Order: sequence, then structure tokens, then C-alpha cells
Amino acid sequence: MHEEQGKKQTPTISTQTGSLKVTFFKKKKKDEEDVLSMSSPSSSSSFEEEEDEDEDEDEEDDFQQEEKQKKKKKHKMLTFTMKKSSFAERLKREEEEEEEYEEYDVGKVRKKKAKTSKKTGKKRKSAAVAAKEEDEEDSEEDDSDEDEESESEDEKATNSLWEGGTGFGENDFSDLSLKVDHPNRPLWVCSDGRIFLESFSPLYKAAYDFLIAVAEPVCRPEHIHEYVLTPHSLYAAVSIGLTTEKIAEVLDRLSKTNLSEEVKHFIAACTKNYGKVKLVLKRNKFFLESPDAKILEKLLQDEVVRSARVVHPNAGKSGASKGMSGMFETSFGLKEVGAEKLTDAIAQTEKQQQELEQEGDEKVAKEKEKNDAEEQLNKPEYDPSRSIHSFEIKPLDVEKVKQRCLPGNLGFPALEEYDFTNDTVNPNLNVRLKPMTKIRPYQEKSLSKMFGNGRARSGIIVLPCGAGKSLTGIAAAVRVGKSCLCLCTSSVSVDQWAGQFKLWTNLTDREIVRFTSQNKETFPPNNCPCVCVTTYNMISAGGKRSEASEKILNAIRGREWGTMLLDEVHVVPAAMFRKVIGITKAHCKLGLTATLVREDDKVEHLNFLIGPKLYEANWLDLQRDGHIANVQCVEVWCEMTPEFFAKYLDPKFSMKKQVLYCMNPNKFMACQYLMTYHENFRKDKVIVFSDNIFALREYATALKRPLIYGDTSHAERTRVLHAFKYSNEINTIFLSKVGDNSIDIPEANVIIQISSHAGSRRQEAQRLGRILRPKAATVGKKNDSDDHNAFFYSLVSRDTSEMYFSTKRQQFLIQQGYAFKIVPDLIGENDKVQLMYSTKATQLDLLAKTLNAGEAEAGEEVLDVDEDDLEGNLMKQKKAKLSALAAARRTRTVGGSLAKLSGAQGLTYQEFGGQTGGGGGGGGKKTGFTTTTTSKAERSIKPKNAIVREREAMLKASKKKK
Amino acid sequence: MPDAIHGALLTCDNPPIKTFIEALNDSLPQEERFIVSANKTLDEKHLLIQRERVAFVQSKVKEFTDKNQYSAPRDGS
Repeated sequence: MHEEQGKKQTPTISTQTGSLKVTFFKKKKKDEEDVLSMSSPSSSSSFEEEEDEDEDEDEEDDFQQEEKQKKKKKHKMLTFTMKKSSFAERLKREEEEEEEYEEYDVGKVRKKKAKTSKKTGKKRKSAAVAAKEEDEEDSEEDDSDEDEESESEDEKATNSLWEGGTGFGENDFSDLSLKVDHPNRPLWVCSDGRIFLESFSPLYKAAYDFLIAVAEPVCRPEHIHEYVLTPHSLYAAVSIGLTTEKIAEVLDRLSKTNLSEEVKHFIAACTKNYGKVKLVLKRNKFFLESPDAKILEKLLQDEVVRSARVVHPNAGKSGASKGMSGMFETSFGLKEVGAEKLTDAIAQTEKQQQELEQEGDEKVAKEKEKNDAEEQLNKPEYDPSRSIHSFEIKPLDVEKVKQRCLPGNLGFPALEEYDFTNDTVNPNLNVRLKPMTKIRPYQEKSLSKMFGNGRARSGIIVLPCGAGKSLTGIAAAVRVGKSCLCLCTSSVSVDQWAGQFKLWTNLTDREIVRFTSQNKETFPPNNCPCVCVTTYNMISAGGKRSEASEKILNAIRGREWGTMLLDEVHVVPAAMFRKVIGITKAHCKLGLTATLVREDDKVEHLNFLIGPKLYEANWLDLQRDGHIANVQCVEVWCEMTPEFFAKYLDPKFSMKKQVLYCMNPNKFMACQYLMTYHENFRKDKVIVFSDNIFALREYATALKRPLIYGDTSHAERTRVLHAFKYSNEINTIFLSKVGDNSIDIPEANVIIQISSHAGSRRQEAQRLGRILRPKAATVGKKNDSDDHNAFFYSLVSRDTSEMYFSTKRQQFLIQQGYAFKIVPDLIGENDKVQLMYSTKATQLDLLAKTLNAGEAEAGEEVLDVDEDDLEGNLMKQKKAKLSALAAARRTRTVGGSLAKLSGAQGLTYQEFGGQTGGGGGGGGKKTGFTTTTTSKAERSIKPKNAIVREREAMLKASKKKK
Repeated sequence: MPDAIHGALLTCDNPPIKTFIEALNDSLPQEERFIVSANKTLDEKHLLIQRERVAFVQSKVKEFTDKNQYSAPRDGS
């Protein structure tokens, strides 16, 4: 934050005050420039439009908007502002009236923003072109990435406003002409594929549903959303049944400007190949389907595809005589009800808009009609105006054909569809949703995309944590009504999913099979359909498996699954997916996730492995409708104390940097302060998260609150969680990483985060997800945007690398439209004295304690070896890949704590009679496997052999029992 | 007779930055150290340093603070 630090120095003692002022004023000017450069479009607009009237306000606006930081870009600017805010004290000293620094109140800023948009509204009416520019800028101001690009370009190129340029850079779209009735249209479609949606437009809802189908959301703050057309998003659009013409037409209808040729070309190019070929499973035969016979001909020219084709002797003869087109079976195409609804909805809302003044009754009738349409969704309807050509392929070669069709080979990725109503071979699972189960509108919407034409499509549904992902998955499984395989990331969530199935449907334990390393339930006989809940690891683990596992695996392999639910798809590495998908025969794959981001950007694979993204909910909309809690996100800045900071900078303690900034006494005080505030004044339930085990333990013991981490026994965990849920005595718990996703605590509504796993955006979102579940009192109630019922505090030590990570972590949430409020000075001087570690002496004690902490302890927690726990294993793999020197050092410490954590330090492995005996043909391993752990270093490496791992798990289990 | 040393007064807006500059000073070999004042004589926000090293300190501080600042990648993903 102290970028300007250096510049603030005063040259000499003699002229100290004078020169300080001079530098300061210079500085201030520079600041304004900075702001300009950061938000060039917005400020430039105000310069054009409002220069004469409110230049001051203009500047103020800028500052406020920065603080509002709804957006990514804004957020980046924020760091700048805050830099300046340390400045604020100085400003006060200078007795200047810079009030805007004090305005951290988001509410106020929001109003301000609303005002500005109103202003734009007025102008729009007055002068078309000017308004258009203004709006363009308005939207650009809200967009994030591209803008940054242009912004930095601005800085380099001379088109910056203050250097005599236009200030638009690449974003100069002033040559586009507006349509006459543009105020009624909600979209700006730029020629580079970016789309801006005005969320205050009456057409918003319908336009949103359409956009989410065809474009990828980039940033969705309150008023203007940015989307971008990508090949993947268009692929998804095509797959749910939208055609090239339809996409262009609807976009054109919604856009304020005429659709540019570039966009049209882009859409056409992207949709040319995608979605044209479908792999349909009907009547238990696989067909390749396409509306265009020529594409099928093209495919047939490929060796692999041709050999896979099932040639009926009769059809072959007659086909040959008739020519190419006769080679295919032809039938009428299916009606794309889902897609039609999308486009119809837009027309409907438009109509409704006009009719709104006229008659109210008609609307009711229309809604009724709409409901009827939804009911019909289940049955495939044939649309006589479209014909579909198809040919059958051999079931064994399906995988090969799919591979051939991928881009890079033939370039016609096949969409998978499952005609479950015509599946006579797989028995129906007698499953219904319980009558009391209510499916929320957005869940219905995502399902309608999945079952758009009466068949089940594979794909991914993205919903925020706590918004009922599992219910959506279960509803999909119920609609298909066949056997269902449900894959989760850990054994805890296996139990949760099984519980959810029981909660929402009429299924009982008999039909639900759980398969984890500890819990191996037996399958019902082969002809009985069932629901199997298991983990990715159990299915994909290599090597030899125990007899029981092998048996179940065989059962899974031997069955045909109607639906496969993939929970938290974003965490699963592509290789593991391929394996899982290769092992299991599932007709319809549904991926569920809240956070489709990965630090390694492997998300793209999912598009082809599972299917396109079918639906993505808007977090803010759900929040507004009360489906998820209204969260106030706060980043609290805690200054490092000089002593801690000196050690932080000391290269001798470089391994302890993390624990030093976690144990920062100011942070500790902030944590205590917030905790007591929420416990006593708001009667909230608080979770404190820390990835650092040492810090977690210190905080918890000092504050006398229970803690749960990897080492905590299961019984203890249950006891603490139960007490937290039901007792008024315990209102705060301390959790390590273990609480990130697997522990379900709907009661909690405050999170204080004292340390985290570097810059993981996913972790941040997942943690937020812990408190997103709406509180009982507010379910379904419309939320007032300023009425927060959940709080997410992130405590950050200033001037440390934590600042960097913290900002990085927030990116995902910011893109979802969340605002992070920054509080630099949380605790007043009066409160400070009442808190722990407020005196130098105690602080120094704490420092000594921190520095004495063992290296293993001070590091980030390494989770227990849990065969089911995907994340734990992934983490370890990642750790193992650390750079040479660090790795050597690191793994040793990891090893030390691992052994300690698993309670197996210095233990002898012993054979457990009979239970693992069937490990099967493992040669020498079969006989009494007794190895003593020779050194910690050796133990540190996770045993690759599955048997060893299982044995370890069992050892642990038996220890617990005792 | 008192010694007069020419120097620049450095004002830090918070103690950690002063700590950083001190640590920077200590990390250099004796002849390159730039802090003129003995630490204890000034308060926790001020330092007296050699005038010709101002630019150096400035660049180092900037480097340090930049390191702690995240700017989103351009593609936004």
C-alpha cells in the first residue's frame, strides 16, 4: 500500500514542512490522474457531459465508486484508494475537507450509483447519440477485464484522455448506430463478442435466461452485467437446441445497436460444427444423429466411424441404390421446448410489457398456459418441420467414435442425449419426490434446460453453495427414473447425499447404496435399480483393491446407470474423470458445482468430458429473492506490529512468514473484537477459519472456544458441532481446512477468516458458501439489499503477502457481484485496551511463542490420509511437486506431522485377520505385511499401494473404537 | 562540537514500513547503509537517511508494496 511511501519523503530537514506540502499536492494530482487512468471511460464520460456542472462531484464519484468496488476492476482500484486512505490521516492533518475517504458505507454509495444511472437514463432520452456514448461508457465502466486491458493500453498509447486522445482505446464503439427504440432494449453487443446487459431493464429476466445460455458471464455486479460470447458458450447454446439463426436473431432483437457482421460471423463459425451431431441412446441402441445428412456423410468417410456403424443387410442394399442420403434413417426432429421457451419468453415479456396497462386477466391465463407447457416437458414431441438423419453405431465403439468426433479430429463434438422414456432395458427406479418438496424457480429452470426436448442431456449446472444443488441433482435423477450413480468428493458428503436422497424422495436405505472405504453396503440384485453414492477416489483408485471393494466395483461396472451425478465437478482432475467415465456406463451425466473456477484452468476439459454448461445462476438475483443469505463481505486490515514485521522481513524466518502474519497481535485483537461483538450483540453463530494449525490452536485456547481440525476425533467433532448447533453456550467454533466444504453447519452466519490457503478463489467461495444457506426466518422473503443477515470477515495483515492473496481470492466473488468492504481501522483506541495482546509485553510473549513453534506445526495444515478425501490427496500431490529444495525441506516436515496426525507414529503395521486377506494375488504382499516405520522421512510419502492405504484407514478406525 | 550530517527526513505513515526500511538497511553491508539517525532518537514514524539514497529507498519500497498487490490477469479467468 505504500507505493507512494518513498515519494512522501521530504528532501531536507530545513524546508521540511514546506516541501512536504509541495510533494503532497503533487501527489494528489497524481492520484487524480491515477483514478482517471483506472476508470478512464467513466471519468471521460463525465468530463464530456458534466464538466461544467459538477467537476468536484465527478472526482468524488470516482473515489466512491472505487470504494464501492463492485467489480474486479474496481477492486483493483481499491487497493489504490486504500493506499491513498493511509494518506487520509494526513489529509485530515492538513485540515482538508476530503470526506469521501470516510465513506466506507456501501449503502450510501449504492444510492449514489443509482442516482448516476438515473441521470444516464434521462440523458438517454434527451440526445440519442450522446446517451449512447454515455451508456456505452457506463457499461464499460462496469466491465472488468477487457477494460483493464484497454486501460493499460491507454497508459502506453497516447489515446489517454489527458494526453489528447479519446480515452477509449480499443473500446471506441462510437461508430455504431443506435436503433430508434433503443431505450427498450437491454443489450449492448460489441463487435468483439462482449455483451453488456442492463439489469434494470424490464426485459432483464428473459434476457438473462437467454444470455446465460449463449454467453459466458464475466462479471455480474448490480446494474450492468458483462457477458462474452465464446466458442464454448455457443457450443452450450447449440446443445440445448438453439440454432445459429435463432441466436443471431434474438441477440439482434435485444441489442440497442445493430448486430455487427463480426458477431454474426463469429456465431456462425462457432456453431457451424458444434451441436450438429448428437449421440443418442434410444431403445438401448446408440445412434449418431444430425439434422444435416451431409455431416453424417462426412463423418462416415472416417475409417473409425465407418467401422463402428451397424449395417443392416437390407438397409445397406436399398441405401446403396438410392444414393447417399438414403443411407440414413430419417425421422422428424424433436421439438426443442426448452429453447423455444427461452426465445418465446423474451417475446412474451415484450408483449406483456405492452399489455400490462390493458388487461390483467390475460396475464393470468398466460401464466396458466406456461405452466401447462412445463408439464409437457417430459414427453418428447416431434416437430414435423425438422427432419433428423441418423445411423446406428455399435455400442462397443461408442467411446472411439466420440473421441474421433472431438475438435482436433473431425471437429464435430457429439452431444450426448439419453432418451430415457424409450429405454426399455433398464428397469425403472420407483422414485418420486416427496409431495412437500418444492423446487425453486431457478432449479426448475436449470432442469428445463437439461430436459429441453424430452431427452436427458449431459451437462453442468452451476449454482451457488447453499442454493440447493443436491435437490437439483436429485430432481434430475428422479425425472430420469433409472438407476443413479452419485459421486462426491469425500465420505462425509457421501453421507450427506444419501441423507438428501432420503429427505427429498421416497427412497429408503434399501435402494441407496453407500460405497466408501469404511462403509461398503451391498448392492441389491442386478435387476433391481438403485442409487449408489460413492466417492471419485473409490471408483478411480488404481492398484489392487480389497475383496469387498472389488466386488462392489464390479457391480458398478456391470450395471447401466441412467444418471450419473457428479458433485463438485470442478475439483476433479481430468485424468480421474476419464477414468471414472470409462469405468461406469452412464447414459446421462450431470455435473454440479458452485465455483467453476480452477487455479490451473482445467475447467475447459469438462466441456467435452461431461457436457456444456447448462445453467448458471446469478448469485445476486438469488440473494435478492431470498434463496441465499444476504452476505456482507468485509476485509479487515490489521497493521503488523513492528516486532512481528521485523521478524517477517528477517530472512532467517522465511519459513515462518505465514504463521507470523496469522499471529499478528492486531489481527488477534480484531478477531476477538468481532467475535465478542457478534456473540453478544447480534447473537450470531460464528465460525473462525484458519488454515494454519498453530494459529488455530493458539486463537482457540486464548479465546477459550472449541476447535476442530484434522486431528480431532470423530466423536469430538460430532459433540462440538452438536453443541454449536443447539446450545447457547457455544456460539463460536474454530475450524481448520476440514470445515471448508464437508461440514454442513446451517446455523452459522458469521465467518471470520484468519488465514487461508494462498490465493485459492475456490476456497474463498466455498467458505462463503458455509453461511450462504438462507436462515429459516428469511427463506423466500425478498431481501433488502442493505439488510445483511450474514457476515464474512477476512482478516488481513497489511504490508504482507497476505494482501496479495486476499485480493486474488476475492476475484471470483467479485465477479459474482459481491462487494468487499474494506475496514482499515476496526478497533478504536478505547476498545483496544480491553482486548488480549494489547500491551507490548504480551505481544512480545506471543511473538516468542510463535517463533518457538515447531516448523511442522507452524505450517499449513496437511489433512489426514483419507482415501475418500479427494482434496486431501490432491493437496498432497501438489505439495510433492514443490520445487527441489523447498520440497525436500517441506516434505520432511509434512511427513512429521502426517505421521503424527494419523496417530501412526512409530507404529508397526500388522495384519488384520481375514479382512484384507483377499487383497488378492498381491504376491509377496499377501503374507504378513509387517514393516516398521524406519524413519519419518520414509513415512512421509503416501503409500501408493491401495492395500497399505486401506490398512492404514482400518488401523485408524480400530484405534478410534478403542 | 556537534556533528552536522546532511540528510533527508523520511516520514512513514505506519510503523511497519519503517521496520521494512530498517530491515533493508540492515541487510546491506556496512558501507552501503543509508540510515543516518540512530533509530531511537526519532519517533516510530520518522527516519533520517542519506539524501542521495532517497531514490534507492523509494524504489525498494515500491518494489515491496507492489509484490503484495494483486492485479487480475487480463483474460479474467
